Amino acid sequence: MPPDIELSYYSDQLFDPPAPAVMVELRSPDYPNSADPERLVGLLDSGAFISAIPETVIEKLHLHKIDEIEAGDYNAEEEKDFRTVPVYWIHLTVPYLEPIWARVIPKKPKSHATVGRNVINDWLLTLDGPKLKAYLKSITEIT
Amino acid sequence: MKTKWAFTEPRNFDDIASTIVRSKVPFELLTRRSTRRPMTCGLTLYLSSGEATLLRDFLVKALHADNWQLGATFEQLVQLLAEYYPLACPEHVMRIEPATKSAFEEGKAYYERNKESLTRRFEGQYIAIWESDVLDSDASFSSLAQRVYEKIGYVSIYMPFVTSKRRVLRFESPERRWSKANAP
Repeated sequence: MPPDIELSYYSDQLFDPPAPAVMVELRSPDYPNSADPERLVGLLDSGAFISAIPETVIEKLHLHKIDEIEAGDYNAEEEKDFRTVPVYWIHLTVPYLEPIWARVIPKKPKSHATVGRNVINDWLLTLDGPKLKAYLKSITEIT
Repeated sequence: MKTKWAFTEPRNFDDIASTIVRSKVPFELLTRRSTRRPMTCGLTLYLSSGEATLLRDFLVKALHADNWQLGATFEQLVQLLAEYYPLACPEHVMRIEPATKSAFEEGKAYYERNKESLTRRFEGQYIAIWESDVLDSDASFSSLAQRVYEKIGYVSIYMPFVTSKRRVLRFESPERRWSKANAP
């Protein structure tokens, strides 16, 4: 795949100011070839240590819990600011890239997913803010 | 000899039911509660082929009801088994009780008990714990999960990241309130 194919983009509909995002397809690992995945806009968020998806999707796909972690938001500092959250495993695909198995935590907002560093760090990601363009490629692309 | 089954998806079900019919060995049924409240239920039955047919009928009915795993919710299934089997073959119900821990909980307890040695062996890796042992490990969660899936399917299993450091995990990005006015 040439490096200038735009798999990612800046969304100004969900995010203000516009933010780099990508379409993600979420499937239960039991049905990795499902023709009817959950499709969501995924905010590319380098400030997120892990990816997060709406809890409604977790329930719909009957995802299995595999871990529990202590997590806090941007304002967390003291012990009380952190809480235990479940971690699930899911089959995540960005069209034209190799599907991956990812760890995700639940989030309440249904409008979009958050693609965190546990996924982003496997990608070559280029952001062109002035042109509102974003480009990504995986180190393991589908050929 | 005891046969132990874990039902994870409908496609296993016909195989299990067929095996039950052929089998005269003790049969243990494990059902899994919804993923939000993982729990298992154990039921051990000693069956003749005729009695196995009864159980197979029950399981097939359960399969065709509206449920992703067994055709019934955990509560419905336990209730049905509790009502159906003691009546049909009371002498064959050896045990029907909630299992003490799910595979996730057992794996987590194993990890806590052996954290020191596991940290020495697997520092910086993800590990998968299954039946009180490390099934596999990898620095890449995706690679590990793929292999675990190939080995045991998509199940509730404990797969932590092993580290001796205390991890401070944050969502650093504040988000402003999402407004319907901004909706696409």
